[in-house]
Amino acid sequence: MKKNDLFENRIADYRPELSDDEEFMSRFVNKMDTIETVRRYCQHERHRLRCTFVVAFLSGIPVGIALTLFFIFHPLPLHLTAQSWTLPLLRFFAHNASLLISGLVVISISAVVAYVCTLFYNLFAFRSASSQQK
Amino acid sequence: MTRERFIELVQVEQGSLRRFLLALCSGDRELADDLAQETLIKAWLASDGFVERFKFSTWLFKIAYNTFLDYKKKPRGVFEPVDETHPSQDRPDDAFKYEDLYHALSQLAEKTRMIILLYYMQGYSVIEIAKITSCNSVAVRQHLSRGRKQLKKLLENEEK
Repeated sequence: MKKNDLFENRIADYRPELSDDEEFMSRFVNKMDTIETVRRYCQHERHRLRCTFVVAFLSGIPVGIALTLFFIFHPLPLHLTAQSWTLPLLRFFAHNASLLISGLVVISISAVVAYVCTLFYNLFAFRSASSQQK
Repeated sequence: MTRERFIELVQVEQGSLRRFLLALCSGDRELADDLAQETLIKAWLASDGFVERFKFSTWLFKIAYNTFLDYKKKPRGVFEPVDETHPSQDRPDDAFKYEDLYHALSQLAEKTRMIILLYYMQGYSVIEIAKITSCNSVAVRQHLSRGRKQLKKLLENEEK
């Protein structure tokens, strides 16, 4: 290729004055620290939500199953509790066992849905924070 | 890649990256530094995908290339947000020395300008430039040939 001396000389002589290297690197390192702080926070939030979900799930479904089994295998001795102040309450539980179990199942499902929604929200929030950082 | 290793590599490359972006931005030091910061942040966020057996500088300049193109595509309002921590600086005193070069480079199309600078300033080969710009070698050679002709004409006019 034919040499373009004028142009190549200009490029070869190009040694512009840059801003202070240390100040530039310090700005960059500060930004890296900010990104890492945001990352750690998001990880912590995801972990916390995961634990919340596990607790909700572990408490909701087994309690529902336990109550179902209880009412199946232990019919209420209503005649013994004729004078008991707890009779209306026990009657309520006896007649509404399926409703109660359904309620517990619904609560557990709600916990799952809430967890998934919060995950998506946090993902969106992290992406917004990352793009704002840029 | 660990954070320390990344900072080590950046310290080696940051000077040539900033010089490259300064030439692209026609001597606007503040803009060049902002683009350099943005490039390095993007590189850090993508560093998990970088394999150390490849050249770090080639990968970094690819990100810088895309960052500059994104900057040019972004619509800019009448009033641009002011960064209070880094108030606007005048162009450096030596900017007048390279005024003719900046003016000549600004007349080129962005891609041609970048390819010319990658070849002549950074010393990359045609194949490396093709990887950075995601073009084939033939297209890179065409940009180089076109850019050379235009620059020769523009610089000769400036000399007159």
